[in-house]
Amino acid sequence: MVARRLDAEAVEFALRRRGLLGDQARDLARRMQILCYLVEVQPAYLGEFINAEKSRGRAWAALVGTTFRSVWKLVKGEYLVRRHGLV
Amino acid sequence: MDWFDLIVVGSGPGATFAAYGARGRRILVLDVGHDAPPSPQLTGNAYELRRGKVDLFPSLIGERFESLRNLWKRPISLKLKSPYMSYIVRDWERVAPVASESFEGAISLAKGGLANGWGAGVFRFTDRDLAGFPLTAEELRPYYDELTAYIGVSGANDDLAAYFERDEGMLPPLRLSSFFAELMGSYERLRPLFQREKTTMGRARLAVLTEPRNGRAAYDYGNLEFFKPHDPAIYTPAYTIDEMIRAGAIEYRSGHLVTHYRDTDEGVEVHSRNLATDAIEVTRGRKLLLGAGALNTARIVLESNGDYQTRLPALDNPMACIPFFRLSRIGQPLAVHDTSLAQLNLVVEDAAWGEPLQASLYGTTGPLRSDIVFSLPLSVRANLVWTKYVAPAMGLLMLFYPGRQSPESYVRLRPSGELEVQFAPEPPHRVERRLIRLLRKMGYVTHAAFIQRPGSGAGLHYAGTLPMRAHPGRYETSAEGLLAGTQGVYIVDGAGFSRLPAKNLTFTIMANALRIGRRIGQQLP
Repeated sequence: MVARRLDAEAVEFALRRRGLLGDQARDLARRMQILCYLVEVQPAYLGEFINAEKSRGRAWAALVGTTFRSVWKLVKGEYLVRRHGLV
Repeated sequence: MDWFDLIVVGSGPGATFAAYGARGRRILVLDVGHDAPPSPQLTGNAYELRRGKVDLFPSLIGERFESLRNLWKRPISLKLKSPYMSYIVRDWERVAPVASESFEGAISLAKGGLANGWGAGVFRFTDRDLAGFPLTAEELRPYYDELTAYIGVSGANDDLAAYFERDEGMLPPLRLSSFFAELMGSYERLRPLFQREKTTMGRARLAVLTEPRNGRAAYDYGNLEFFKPHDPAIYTPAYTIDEMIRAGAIEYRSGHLVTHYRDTDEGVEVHSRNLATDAIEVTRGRKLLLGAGALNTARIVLESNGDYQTRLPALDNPMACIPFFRLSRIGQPLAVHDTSLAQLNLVVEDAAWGEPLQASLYGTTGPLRSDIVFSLPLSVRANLVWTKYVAPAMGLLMLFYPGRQSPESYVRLRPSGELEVQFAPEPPHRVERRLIRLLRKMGYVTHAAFIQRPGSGAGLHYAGTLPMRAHPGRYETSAEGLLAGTQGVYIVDGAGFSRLPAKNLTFTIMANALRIGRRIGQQLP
């Protein structure tokens, strides 16, 4: 995935939604979760994890937008998995 | 030959208060006793620390990536895996192994036991809870009163007093967050509906100081409970063990794993493995008080009887976790100065069970977000955004079920030394849908599909392996805690519980152990 510069978020999501429990799928999800942990404890990224300001409009916009983006990621991920024979 | 008056095994709530009750006697405490590491970086508020320049990687993740253990190993409570908290469950799988396909609990070999990482909920057992025990609430009351004064209990004598008993010695309750103040307001407005639904809500009762006491500072809402052990405001039996050591009231030998005993006419011979040297050491006491936790106490008793066949009963409180949301709070900042401890308790009478079920209600300020990001159903980035903006609008209702006697719930010792532990899984119950309906009537969004069920044994409320009976038979104990068939072996932890209501049992373990220890101390010549 790195060599082919594939969208890791999309691939991981597609594999997770397929319910695949194979080692490769689990490893990818695990690596991304590890990255989350490592990033979360960095002060510069705290704002990505914790909302510190009252921002109702921005929050709802982000939730709606990111949900649609997530659907796109699923479609893209499925395409990438099949196109590159990742499973 | 050197004889102690009492040998106490363990240092959790039962062992500690049995020793405390018997002070004045010559007491040896044998314990594995891992101690809390110092955590000097973690002072103040977790979120203010995280905004600062201090590198918190060692404290929050760990040099050995302790916080990531649930990615590789059988998951444990989020409170038990951070670097400075992981000592609570260190080594148990090697030193006190459990053989089970389904056990998702943990055993503590730490000084103070699992109560080093507990939710601090303390609830008096009523006569209804004690049905089946050869004890009454009246007999335990003076010990509860003594404990309330000594350890410090905060809460309120509110609607829940009918289930928890009035306690005039309590400190004021913890401050409610605005989220839970709103919830409590809804409850008060809808009280007639709750009464029809036989559901009652009130302030959490916690072994947490809201005022300084006995040299311990009051709670400071720092949100470090998931990362920092021994917050002075949150009681742990380790404080009492240390106090007794300083006062010379006990001889405390850590690094010792008791393997078995031999009960004789003169007293009890206790065999323990010195974990540093691997040598077996023998100590002698006129009485032996076993408080190693229901599972390890059962292990010691079975080993002492050379019994690798008998299945002893085992109880735990199955749990269901119901998230609920207030949509109007989406986009609010996270209340980082609110507590991660339980803010409210709820009791629901359920006809199917014939007894009350109890829940604790929590906010979401405690754990790292990465602990929950992958439990959401969207892509990683979307899950992060949802976690960020929805967490301040979210509460968690942790519902506990009573422990049920079942042939599928047992412990048995294998010749290999592994303790075979099985807890019967608990299916969903209609009471969960009742609670969901109530939450919706109060204006919260929730659904049965959101419910999470921690695995077997995850309740960590193990009990009933050597139950008290009015007329105890083999592997049962008397009302005074004496193990049937022995002259000097007493059970002072949850192993002696006759049943397990849906209520945190720690306070009752303490009260019962204090009662037994005091009586033994007074009766010894």
